[in-house]
This record gives sequence, C-alpha cells and structure tokens, in this order.
Amino acid sequence: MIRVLSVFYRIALLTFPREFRHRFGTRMIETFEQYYQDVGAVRSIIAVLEVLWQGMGERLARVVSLLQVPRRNNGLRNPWRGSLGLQIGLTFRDVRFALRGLRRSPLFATMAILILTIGIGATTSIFSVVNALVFRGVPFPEAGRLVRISETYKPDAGAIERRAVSYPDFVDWKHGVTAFSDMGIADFDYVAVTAGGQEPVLVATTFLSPSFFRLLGVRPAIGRLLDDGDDSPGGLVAVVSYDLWRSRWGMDSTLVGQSITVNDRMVTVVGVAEEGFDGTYGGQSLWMPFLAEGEFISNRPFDRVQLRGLRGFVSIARLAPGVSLQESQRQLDVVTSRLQEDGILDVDRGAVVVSFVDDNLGAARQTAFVLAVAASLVLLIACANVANLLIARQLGRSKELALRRAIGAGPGSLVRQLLVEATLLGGIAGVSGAVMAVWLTKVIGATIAPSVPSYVVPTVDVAALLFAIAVSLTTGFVFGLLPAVSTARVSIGDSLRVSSSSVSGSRRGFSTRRALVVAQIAVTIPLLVGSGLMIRSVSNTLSIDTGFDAAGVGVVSVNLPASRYDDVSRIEFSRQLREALLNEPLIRNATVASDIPLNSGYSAMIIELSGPGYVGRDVRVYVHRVSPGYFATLGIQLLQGRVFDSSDRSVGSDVVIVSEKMARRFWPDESPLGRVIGDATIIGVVANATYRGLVPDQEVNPDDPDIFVPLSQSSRADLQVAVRGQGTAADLPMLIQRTIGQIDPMLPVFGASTLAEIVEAHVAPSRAATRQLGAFAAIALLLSAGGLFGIMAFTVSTQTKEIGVRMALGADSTRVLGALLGKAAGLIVGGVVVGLIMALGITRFLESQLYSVSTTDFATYGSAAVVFLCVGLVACVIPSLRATRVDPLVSLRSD
Amino acid sequence: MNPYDHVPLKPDAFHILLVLLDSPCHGYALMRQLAQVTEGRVVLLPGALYRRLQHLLDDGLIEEVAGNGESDSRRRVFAVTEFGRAVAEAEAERLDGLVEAARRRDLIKKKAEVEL
Repeated sequence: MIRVLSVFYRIALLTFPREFRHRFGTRMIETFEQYYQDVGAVRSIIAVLEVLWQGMGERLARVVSLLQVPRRNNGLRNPWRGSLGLQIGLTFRDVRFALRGLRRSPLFATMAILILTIGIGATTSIFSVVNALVFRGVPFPEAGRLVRISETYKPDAGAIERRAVSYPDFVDWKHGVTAFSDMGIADFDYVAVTAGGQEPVLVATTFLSPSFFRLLGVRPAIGRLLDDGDDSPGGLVAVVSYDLWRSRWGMDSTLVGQSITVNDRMVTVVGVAEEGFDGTYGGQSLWMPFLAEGEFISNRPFDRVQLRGLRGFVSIARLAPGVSLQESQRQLDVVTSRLQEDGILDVDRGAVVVSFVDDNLGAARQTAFVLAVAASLVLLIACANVANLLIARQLGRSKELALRRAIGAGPGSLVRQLLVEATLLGGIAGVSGAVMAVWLTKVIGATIAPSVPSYVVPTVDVAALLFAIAVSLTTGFVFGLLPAVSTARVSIGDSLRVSSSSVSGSRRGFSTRRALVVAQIAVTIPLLVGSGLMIRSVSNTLSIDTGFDAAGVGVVSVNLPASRYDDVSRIEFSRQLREALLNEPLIRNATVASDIPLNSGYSAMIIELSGPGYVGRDVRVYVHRVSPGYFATLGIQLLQGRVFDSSDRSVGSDVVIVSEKMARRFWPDESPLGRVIGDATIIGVVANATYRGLVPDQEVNPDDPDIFVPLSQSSRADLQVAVRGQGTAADLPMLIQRTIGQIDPMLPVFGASTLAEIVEAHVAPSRAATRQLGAFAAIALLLSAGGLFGIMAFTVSTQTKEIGVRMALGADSTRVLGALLGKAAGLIVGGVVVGLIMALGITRFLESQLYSVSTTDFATYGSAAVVFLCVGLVACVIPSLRATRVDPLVSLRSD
Repeated sequence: MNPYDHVPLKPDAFHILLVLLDSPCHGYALMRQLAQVTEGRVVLLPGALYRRLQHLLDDGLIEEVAGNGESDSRRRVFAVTEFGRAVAEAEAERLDGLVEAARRRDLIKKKAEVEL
C-alpha cells in the first residue's frame, strides 16, 4: 500500500513548480512516508490530495505575485503602493496600449474576436433553448406532478403502441384509481365562431372536463372558468382566451354573459382565461365543456361518450400528494385487469401513465441536447483556436517583451498588460457574441417551434451568456499568460540575442500548439460524423416511398356542423362539392374523404374477418372513407379490380377496397376480390401508401392494414378535400375554399395547404436539427482547418532558413513540400483517429433521432474522415507551397 | 532588514518559529511537534508545511543546517535565524499589546474564574 500511495504522491507532487520540487521534493516524500507509518492509509490519502491542492495553489500564487507591484523598490518603500489612483492610471495606460497592440495586428484581432463571437453566440443560444425546454419547461404549477394517461394496444407482433383515451375507460379510471388528486379529459377541434354579425372565424377549441383548469392551475381574467356543473350535453357555455378576447372583442368586459355563435349554436361566454394561458399544448383560444362537444360536431352525440372503442381523447391527471408515478400505474393496471376479467376490455388493451412534461417536451429535449453537445464542442474548438492564436502571437512577441523588460518594465506590468489585452478581446467578443446569441436563439426557436407547445419561447439566458464569456476569458487568461510567464522567467539577454526566425526556447509553446490542433481535429470529427448521420437519416426519410404522388395536390379541411347537416345532407354536400370542383378548368381530379395521407383524421377499427382459415379473427384496420376519385387524385395505384364510382352510393350493396398489405396478409395465395369483410365485398386492391407517419413510432405501426369504404356509405362531419390540378399546387387550396364558399358560405374551412407541404412538415423537425448540426460541423471544420493552417504557416515561417539551406544544397521543392506535409499528416491522422473513437461514443445520443441508419455507419465515419483529410490537406498545402518558393539566397540572408 | 516588515506573521508561521526555537528539527518532526504543542489545532500536511517553510527560508527567518547527528546526521534540519528570532519577538510584542488591550477591556477571564 505504501508503495502505491507513494507513487501517487510523487505524481501529485508534479503540480508543484519544478524548482519547488527540486528544492523540497525528496524531503516531502520522506515526510509523507513517515506520516503514513504513523496514521495509516486512509489519512495518507488526504495528504495526497492535499499536496495536489497545494501544488496548484503554489502555481497560482506565483502568477499572482508577478502581477503585484514589487514590494520594495531599490530598498525604498513605494509611497504609492496600494493607491487607487495609481492603479487606475496604470489600467488606462494598459488599455490604451492593448488597443494599440491589437490595431497593429488587425488580422489576429479580427480572427480572435470572430472565433470567440461564434463560440459565445452558439453556446449561449443553444443553452438558452435548452433552458427554455428543460428548466423552464411547461408554465403550470407543480408541472412535475402532472401526468398524461394513454391507452395501450399490444398487436400480435411488434411493440406496444400508445393510443388516445375513450370516455368509458376514463370514467372507470376515475372511479377505480385513488392515485390521482384530479383527472381531466379533453378533445381538440376547430369551430366557427360568429359574434355581432361579423364573418365567422375558425377557432382552435378544446372541449374539456372543467377539472382541467384546476389541474393546470389556471385562473380567470374576468368572469369565471368552467365548473363541474357545466359539463353536460346541454352545457352551452364557453371560456375565451385572453388573446382572442383582445383581438376579437378589444378586451370588452361586457363580453361575459354575452352570447356568441359556435357552429350555428348560441353559446354563453362565462369568462376569459388569464393572460398567457393558451391550452395544454398551446395555441387554443376557446374552451367548452367536454360533454357538450356532441352538440357542435357530431350528429351522434352519445356515441362519443358511450363507445369504449372510440379512443380519441387526451387525458391528463395530477398525482395525489405522496403518490409515485409507479403507484398510479399499478392502480391503473388493477382497473384494467378487472375490466378484462369482466370481459369489457380486450386483453391486448391497457393503459400507461407518463410524465406530462416528458410527453410534451421529450422529443424536442432530445434534439436540444444533441445541439447543446454540438455547441459545447464548437466552443471548445473556438477556445482552442484562440489559445493557439494567442500562443503564436506571444511567441512572435517574445523579443518585444524582452526588449521592454530590458528598458525597465517589470514582469508584473508585462503580464498585466497581456491580461488586459486578453480581457479586451474577450470583452469585445462577449458583446458581439451576445448579439449573435440573440439572433441565433430566435432562429433555433423558430426551427423547434413545430415540435413544442407555443408557450415554449426561448429567450437569451444571461447565465449562459456569462458562462460562455467566462470560458472564453479564462482561455484568454491562461494561454495569454503562459507564454508571458515564461518570457518573464527567461533572461532578457537570451531573448534578445535569439533571432526571431529560429525561435529557440519556444519548443514548449510549439508543442502546446500542436496538441491544441490535434485536439481541435479530434473534436471536429464527432461533429462531422453526427451531422453526416443526420443527413443520411433525413435523406432516408425523404426517400421513403410514400406510395402516393404529392406533387400538384392541394388540400383543405372543412367541418359540416351537426346543427345543419345530417348524414344524408353530408353525402349530398360531398357529391355537390366534388362535381363543382371537377367543373373548374384548372382541376383535373378531386376527392372528398375522411382523411388525406399524413394529414391526420384517420381512425382504426377492429373488424372480424370471415372465411375459411380466418373465421372469427379480429383484425385492427384503418378505415378511410373516400369519395370516387380518391386514388386517382392522390396517385395511388390500383393493382386489382376496380375503384369506387358513383354507382357505389346505393345503400345495401356495401363494397370495400383493401390495401396490398392487407391482401398479402390475409389472402396470400388467392385473389381477395369477392371476399367479404363484415358486410362489404372487396372490389379492388390498391398499392400500399403511408397514411399515418413517414417514420414508424410509438403511435404509428406501418404494418396495420388499410381499407377504403365509400364516403356515401358512412359520412362524417370532418372532411378533407384534395384536388389534383394542372401545374403548380399553390393556387389549389384557394380554389377549393372558393368552391366550398359558393356551396355554403358559412362553413368553417381550415388547413389549406398542399400535399407536398404536408409531407414536408413531417420531415421539417429533423431537417431543421440536421441543418443546425450541419452548421456547427461546418464552423468546427472551418475553425480546425484554420488552426491547422496557422500551425503550418508558423512552422514554415520558423523554418525558412532551414528550408533555404536544404534547397541551396539541392533539395527540390517536391521533397521540401513532402517533408512539411509529412509533419502535418501526423497531426491530422492523430486527430482523426482520436476523433473517430470519440464519435463512436458520442453518436449514441443521436440514436433516437436516426431513421434507418446505424450510429456506427461505416460509410459516414469514412466520409467524415475523408472530408477532414481533404480540408486539412488544403489547409496545409497553401502555407507549405509558400515555403517551396523560398529563394535560398534570400532566406539565408534573412535575419 | 527590518523585522517589523514581517509582522503580523501568519499564525502557522509563528507556530513554526516557536517550535523551531525549542530545537531545530526536520520536516516530519516539525509536523508532529506542531500538532502536539497546539493540541491538534494547527495541523499542516506536507504540502502546506513546505510551502510555508519555503517562504520562511526565502525571507531569511529560518535556515537549513546540518543535523546534530543524533538520529541521522545526513539529514538537514530547519533552524531559526537571528533575524527570525527578531521577527518572532516583534510578533510576540504585537500580540502582547493586543492581549493587553483585550485584558484592559475585561475580555480575558482569569483561569480561576473560568474554572469556577
């Protein structure tokens, strides 16, 4: 044991300055060993730590002592010592001097400030975003106790899927679970609001149980919020958001008690929610009782609350004091298994509790985390780069510093002046970095906006800014000081005698610089690999065969209010609309459907398949209610049989079209045409297409089959209209809106966009993340290439004489170039190898963001290495070429 | 050199001088003595001890002399210089003045009173 500790002690002693170790080292080790004999191992370990600590203290003390005005001046006491006036005077002089120094080398100053600005700006903005997402999170009191309850479905094969909640299940949980102090259920929808004879406006509305307001701790601005008595089918009352109150009613306080028209029904406004509250997930403007929803959007109001299979709602609860998430899950499981025993719930169903905050911000947090790592790496590289610049500059100035010492400047004043210079650089960069941070925070905020609730608004975090500036200043201090201290130590005569071109005594500075360059390369590689992986993932996502043709298709959603439309008139409206659209010369094809691919609105149901081999087999299928023209408009291929036509309207001859996936799964060896699903006969098979999400996730199982039934057999209130036009799709949504307006001007129309935009929205978040990661990687690449360039230029300039001699002795320029590049190659290869190893470790964090590309994808790693080798080579060749153009005569004469 | 330039001394430096005034000793003995005479209130581990010794040596308050040969004559021991003794006296004088001032204000109770 004593031997081991003794070795540690010797290592720890290395923190002391060399001269101190020479003087006391042996005796300190002896003392330590005797101490060990007396007190044993445990307390000796403290002595090892103590020596480590003291060693650093000693080094710090030496630097500090250099900064102090000498205690005694030629034996006379300095009468001004400690005088504030003198100190300030000195500092002003230093600032002036430092400014002059920086002006003299504008390239250095610009580079240093630019690099630090990028480092400070990038880091600050990213940490501001992380702060908004992780630490500020959601604006509700005790948000950590909020949970979201989802239903689960376990398919025959594959992972458990999360589903929305049905009202009967919600009621059963409410009665059977004591772990929640409060529970709420909500549905999100759009309604048309008319007030005071104005045009109807489409308003994002939540139909919710009144407990929601209690759960989220919301208070009314005026009037009251919903209370439990309101929650009934006839509860025609509403709460308006503060923003809507301001924009629509000019904050008129008589609004409370007034009636407004919502989807053709009179509703009384009972209050306005407090300022800033815009719903659980943001963006909501109107709240009405959950049980009243049927009045507005459905013509079968009771289905919504009675069907256990209608899983379309969001449920949120607050954990009771002292109850854990696990306990609430356990209680939910008890309710689930009781329902299953009673035969009310299928065995493949269940419920799961997740933290509301995680559920809400989880994905964005992951993106933010990856970007934060990338930003930290960029800051690291920026600091290494500035350190490199500073060292190079101090080495170049060693003669100047020595000269100034020779004519009477004390070491303290030299060091102080260098410190002032570093502070000045850091200060200027701090200001410009702050400006950049403000701008960049806005950019990043905008890119994550689609995937986070609207109340997450990143603003520049002062603490993050100060931290980034502190890191940059520290770098400036440390690397500005090291050479200064060594200059202060070297004898003046030596420094002055040495010529600038041979720079002896600077080996240490030079090897530090080489190490910094290797470190920069090593840190750059993971960034290159990371963004390479993201790029591949996004391009994989983009190259997914969607099975439909998005180009040239315009889409609009419309809601047929239950008060004016029944089943028959809905079918009639759809038929009329389609005919009107087809009459437009710009439109080639049109369809009205329950859902358009990737535009939500889809629903699943369990069907029973009959026939030999699969009698009584329950299968979950997604049902799309579509008018004629659906497949032609969307460019989905018909494989067998026929598509719907207008004759399929007649009730009693139910027909259905199935997807290829469905056909393959259930009728692998025969034609499905003529088979029966439920009461409907299969008349066609269409090619597979992605309807629910480009990338499979917890809520999207790509293996679920799709079936299509005629819209005329079962219509709905929420409809989506798609048209294929000639030429660009941009004008099509307007055209659809106008056509709908001609049929019924009071209908709320929303979601106008093109199908291409809808597809793009699915890729946008990862595309944005990729772009930002790519930008960081590009900055990193540029900075480390710059570092490489710098060190090569420096090497060449210090070896001009040597190169001259070689060339005078007959070496040709190719060999000189080869020798120089050989040195650089060592640095590059070393950095790249270390970087690739680091990348293997770091890219694991990206895993959840990647689609169909492995984090150890060889091609990406290879490309990153090749990219860096090429850029690095260019960075080295430019200064090296200069060396080969050296005229031996000139270089030998130089100096 | 003016001993008063070094006053006030850091408490642990003063303790080191006091121990070394008793008898010159080497590092580890000094460490133990310090802990003993101060009843464990001043414990300097080697790192801090040698840093303090370095300052005392550089300021000329102590010096290194050959050991007296009792245990190991090769070992160098630390001893207080004349100047060091003068500094210790100056510090003692300063402390005495302080203690006297405190006593006049009745801040220091006599031992007997404390024990009662």
